[in-house]
Amino acid sequence: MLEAQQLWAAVLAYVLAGSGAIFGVVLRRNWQRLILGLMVLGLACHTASIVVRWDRLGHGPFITMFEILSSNVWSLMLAFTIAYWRLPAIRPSAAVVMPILFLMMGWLLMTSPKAGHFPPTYHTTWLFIHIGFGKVFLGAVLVAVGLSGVVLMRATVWGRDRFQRLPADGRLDELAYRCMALGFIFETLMLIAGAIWAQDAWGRYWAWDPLETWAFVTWLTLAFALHARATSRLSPQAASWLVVAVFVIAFLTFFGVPFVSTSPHKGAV
Amino acid sequence: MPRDVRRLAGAWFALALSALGMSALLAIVLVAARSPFLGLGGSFFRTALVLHVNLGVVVWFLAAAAGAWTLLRARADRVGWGALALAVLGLSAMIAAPVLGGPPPVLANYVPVLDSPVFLGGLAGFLLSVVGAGMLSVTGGWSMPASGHRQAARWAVLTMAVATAVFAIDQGRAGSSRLILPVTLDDQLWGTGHLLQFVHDLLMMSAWMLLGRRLLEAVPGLARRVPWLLALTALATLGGLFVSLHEDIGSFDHRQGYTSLMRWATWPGPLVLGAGLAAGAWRLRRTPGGLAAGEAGLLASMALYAFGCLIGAAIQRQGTTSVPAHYHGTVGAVTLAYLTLAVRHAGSFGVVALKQATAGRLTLAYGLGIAILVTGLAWSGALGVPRKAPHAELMQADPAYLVAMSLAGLGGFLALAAVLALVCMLFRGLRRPARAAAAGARPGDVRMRALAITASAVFAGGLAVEFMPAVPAIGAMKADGHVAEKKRAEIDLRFSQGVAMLHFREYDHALTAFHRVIELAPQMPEAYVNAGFALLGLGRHEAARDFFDEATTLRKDQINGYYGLALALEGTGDAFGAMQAMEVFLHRAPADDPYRRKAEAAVWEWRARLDEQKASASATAEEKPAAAR
Amino acid sequence: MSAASTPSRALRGRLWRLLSRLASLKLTLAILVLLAVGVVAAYLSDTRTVWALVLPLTLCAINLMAAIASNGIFRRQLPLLVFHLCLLALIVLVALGRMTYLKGQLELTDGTWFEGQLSAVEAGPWHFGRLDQVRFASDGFRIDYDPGMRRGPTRNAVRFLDASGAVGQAVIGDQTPLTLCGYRFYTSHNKGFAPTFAWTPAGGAGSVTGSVHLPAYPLHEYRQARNWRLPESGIEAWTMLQFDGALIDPERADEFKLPAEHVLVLRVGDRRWTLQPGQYVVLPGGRLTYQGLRAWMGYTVFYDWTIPWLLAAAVSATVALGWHFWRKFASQPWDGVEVPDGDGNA
Repeated sequence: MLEAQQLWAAVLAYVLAGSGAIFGVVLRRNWQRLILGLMVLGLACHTASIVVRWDRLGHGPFITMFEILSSNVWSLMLAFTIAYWRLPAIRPSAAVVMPILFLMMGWLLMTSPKAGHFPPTYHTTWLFIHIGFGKVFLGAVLVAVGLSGVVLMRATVWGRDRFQRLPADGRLDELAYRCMALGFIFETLMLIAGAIWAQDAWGRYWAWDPLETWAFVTWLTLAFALHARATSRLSPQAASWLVVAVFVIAFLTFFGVPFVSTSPHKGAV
Repeated sequence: MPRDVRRLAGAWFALALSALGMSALLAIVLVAARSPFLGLGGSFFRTALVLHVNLGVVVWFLAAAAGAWTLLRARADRVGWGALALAVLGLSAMIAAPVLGGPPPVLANYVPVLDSPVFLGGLAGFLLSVVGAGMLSVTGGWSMPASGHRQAARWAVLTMAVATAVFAIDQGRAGSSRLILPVTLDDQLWGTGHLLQFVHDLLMMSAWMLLGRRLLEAVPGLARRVPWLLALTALATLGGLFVSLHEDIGSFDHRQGYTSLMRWATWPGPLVLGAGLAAGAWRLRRTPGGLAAGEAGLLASMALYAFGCLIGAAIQRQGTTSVPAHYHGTVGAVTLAYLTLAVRHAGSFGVVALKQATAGRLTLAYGLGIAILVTGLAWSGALGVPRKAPHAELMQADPAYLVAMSLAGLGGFLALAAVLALVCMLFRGLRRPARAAAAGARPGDVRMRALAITASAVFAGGLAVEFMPAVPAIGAMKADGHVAEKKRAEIDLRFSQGVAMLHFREYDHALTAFHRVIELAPQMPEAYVNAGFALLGLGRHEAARDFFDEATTLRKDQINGYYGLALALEGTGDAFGAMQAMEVFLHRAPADDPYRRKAEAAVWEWRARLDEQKASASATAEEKPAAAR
Repeated sequence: MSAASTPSRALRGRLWRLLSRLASLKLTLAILVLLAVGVVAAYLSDTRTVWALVLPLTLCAINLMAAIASNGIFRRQLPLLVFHLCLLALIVLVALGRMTYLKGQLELTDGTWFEGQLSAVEAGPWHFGRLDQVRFASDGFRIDYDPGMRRGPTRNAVRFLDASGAVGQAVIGDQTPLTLCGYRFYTSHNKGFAPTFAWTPAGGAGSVTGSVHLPAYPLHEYRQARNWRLPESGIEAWTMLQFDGALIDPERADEFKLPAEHVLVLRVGDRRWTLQPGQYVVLPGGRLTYQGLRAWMGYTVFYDWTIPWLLAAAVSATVALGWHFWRKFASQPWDGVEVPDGDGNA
């Protein structure tokens, strides 16, 4: 019960922070410190909720859709909060990022918080390594998508006005590119750790199961985006579309594929 | 000092600092491994502990010593660089050892090791290189006029030579031991480990004199007395030669000899010198400009050392946390002195743009952290907390205990953070000129290099994976919260703790651990056997006999139970029962059992004794009627 | 200048142009798209679609090699080149691995030795392993079940012959394989009961012992029966195992075990017997004794010698890439990034 209350408190703090960010951009107000405070508060409540659940069930939040969503909202919020804190210049991009997280929170609150069975193949450190890398990857891409969203919205008259205070498109694009590079490294690491785990767990390192397939497609898309940016001088807008494309595919891979199959990896148990 | 000598000595110092940094990182791993939800298992913990101690004490101190000796030699030729290369190779082997074959950690008292050829070979290579650097210094600059700190470094070379000799003697005598219990690695490293303390002591005095040159001069006559202090400290190690030559390795006298040597001879030199330097500081307290660079660190190091000695003197009971309080104090004092020197002289060894003020504050923060840690440990030691026992077992709700242990944790954390920050600062300063040079050079064609790097990385990496046995963490980790699982984990933990304690000859703690195991797993004969051996160590033969009895009742094939039973029965004076039990052991033990030879010898001896007794008994029996008449 | 050198120089020029065209970075983009399409096609299609992957990967390797040979960036940027070389190594290793791999399944009754026969196998065309030399035996296994019949980890004690011919012992499971001659044997979730029979031919020749692997338990809980054929005589038999109640209690934590009491139904033709361990039936041609019930374990076997090198190449690639990006980004802080003047460096 405590766990649910903490989760609700966290979501409330996140929603307040996100709404603040959106209205701050629309109304041209500067509430950044308040928003950062709310984000940290939400993270604290969310962490407490996850810890309580972890302690109660004796395993981490990796099994059910509820747990996967909850832990990813947590890690994405953490990644974005760090970016928000360390890179003050890009703070208004929260208006782009937070709605994406709202979507996940809404979904999270609709799923059943019942406990799942902890499969025998999950008794390994690779679980933490694999998932940890994945979370860094998605977090980095989320920050990139916030920046790209700003670039794309600035293409409209409304957006140009609202997002005036942010650095120029070129600088946002460069930052997004850095995040994507970071994400690429961590996605590669995630695939490697996953392959090692799969070799341990199922006796093969790669078998093109749905999640493996789509994770590889994500990797290829990311490689394409980085390569395209290096090869031809893309405009910041074009590069931003690529970032969005990568994020969409990664998002579908992370949350769409487990949604259609019963467990994170099909046949994983 | 020629530039190339500085480069070689600087390389040694860099090696020392990197070992210190790695040791600090491992300390964090140790803390993390203890946290319940990572559950990396006792063997992982002990392996990390072994590396932490080796890097943080053995490698850090001795690589620094080798650097000092290189400066003493004032020459850097191929042999000097070769010694360094050997040290690097040895250190790499030590670090790589845990993943190659998952060797069992042996928590020997002064030099804990991983029992694998890779680790032991690496350690031997490293030690050899340090001894080499010391011996080389004899060929070089010994003709130069010697100020106090140089003299101390020279005496340290002599001490190192004695330690090497003792090592050789002990290894030689370990092969022909006459004791019933086998000679352990702990025994084999006991003497050398103690004598190394003298090496560190002398070099710390050297560092103090270098840092406190101004203070030394402020006390008339102190500089003249320094050679005597040094000679007394260094020559005391010859007592080690005496002990090793006269006492059987592994015997009580051998161990006690070294303990006494350390108890009476290590501290007077540094304490007297420290007192002199402190007096100098007192005299200079009014000079304008306050303390010179590094003098604050020097005073802190001396205070820490004195504190450590004080606690050492106050140790009433062996085996409480007073013991680590004592050695953390003294080890911290040496480390603090070295770090202060490193910060003050970093510029001479190619470290660019080091912020002296910040670095100085970090060294003091380290000292403060260690002081807090020592206070906490000493306090809990005074409360009687046994060392090396995890929190859960103690279950002490006493608030004083909790405050003391929290204090220790806080101090340890502060010291770790300061050391890591300092090492990072020094290395960043060292890299800066290298990077500038790299940036200045024109990039050539890198394709061949890239090909070589790729090929060797793939090939060597593949080989490493191929021949690396299963990573210990895989499958060993149990994240589920089942009671049975937790119970099993606790049994494993307590059991291995007990075995380690048995190894350290801390029998009462071992007994506590095995009592707990028996409580959790009353059907486990191994626990009874080990509890029996712990009781044997405590001299409680009758209780030991009952435990061995129970073990052999639980499992008829528990052959070491018969061995222990024999020893226990012998202790109670029942030589006949002892002989019978030992014969059962011999009957059931496999032909290659390592204890077989000793068992055979014991049976033979007991039988002889029994025959003798029988003979004399029959003699008295014959006499008795006569006397009655 | 001699006349001979002119055409050769022209040829060289033409070759160089071809090389630069093959090394084109635009081509790389096209290949990446092609590879993604190939992956998705292979994933969605039910038929074997090896070419959807092989073609783009081959193109990728050619493109990479051409670029390494001709692109100036690779001459200057060491980490970037190492990354791409590692990618090339990965492609080559995967190709080699697919040519030489083996994947298979087998079932083993407790106490019997594996002697090189697999029940299902799939292998690359150049697989020349030493599976026929692999020997191991199962000494029984333990599987705990959580309430609700959730399977826990499997612990299977095995004996095996090592390279020197000595017998070794190990405990393997879902994630800890037994590795012999490069083959990795994992326990699978398939396991069940194996009634064991001794067949003594009427002629007085020595008897043969064998066991019948009933369908996996508890997966096929209500289908513990199967047809089989007696050795040599060709007699067709049908066997069913009967016992009372559920063996694994779904309400509480339990473990896989043999039924304490059971009967075995044996049917040959239209004759039917119920047997207890030790009982026998006389059939035309010999005597069939039911010796008792044992368990069998299903294993998967996997052979691919490239795995360690694949891992090393993948990790090296990641390290090199991290190194490259680090060098690229470390020169400018993240919170004050300037727009690069753009020299086309990746």
